[in-house]
Amino acid sequence: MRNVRTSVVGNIKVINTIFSSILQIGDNVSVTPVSNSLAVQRQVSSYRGNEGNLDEFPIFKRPIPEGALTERLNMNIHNETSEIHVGNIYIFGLSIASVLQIGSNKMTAPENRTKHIRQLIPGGGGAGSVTPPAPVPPVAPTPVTPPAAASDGVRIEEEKP
Amino acid sequence: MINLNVINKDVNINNLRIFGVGGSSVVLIGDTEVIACSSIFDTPPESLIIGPLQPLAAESGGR
Repeated sequence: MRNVRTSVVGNIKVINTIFSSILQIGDNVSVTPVSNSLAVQRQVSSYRGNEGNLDEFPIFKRPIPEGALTERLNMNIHNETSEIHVGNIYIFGLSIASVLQIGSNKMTAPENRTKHIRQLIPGGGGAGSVTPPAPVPPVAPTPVTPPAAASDGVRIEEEKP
Repeated sequence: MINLNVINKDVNINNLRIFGVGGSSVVLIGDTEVIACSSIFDTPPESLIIGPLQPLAAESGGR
């Protein structure tokens, strides 16, 4: 590796690392955390536990455009000191495909894809309603006729016995 | 041709306090060559579904 500096850190305190996040102490070549998530909010909190087929949503497959570097780049780096000093680091949370690294690397390329879906009950306030509707009796997740499938919307499968 | 000359002087930080690092972002205490963070976030109108609550299709594979 090129001339890299040594990182010197006194204390680190991190409370949470979740959803494909990485806390690394030391050098490496590349860090590429990936997180694919479906964020589903329902008016009635009823979930089966095995829902969510990512293959059904194009957002999880489409290529991510890269910034094109059209010119040649000649970069010269001069380090006046051989160390980077940090006394204390406090981070409450590292989340979706994020990285905290104490040390050097060649490349960091985190990738996050999140698809939001909100499911409301008809007559229960409607789309424009800000306030939640009156209490709704809990609805068991029994499949009914699927709504007209939108291009990238939710496709609901009939329940298999 | 782009010529980029970087001079790193002495870096001395006392305290670093961050509440959250989220959505494909990086905190790096060190040297690097490339950082390429990407994030796709989709909340289109059709993601709001008003109708009887229906489960999503089951996970593929495994279960």
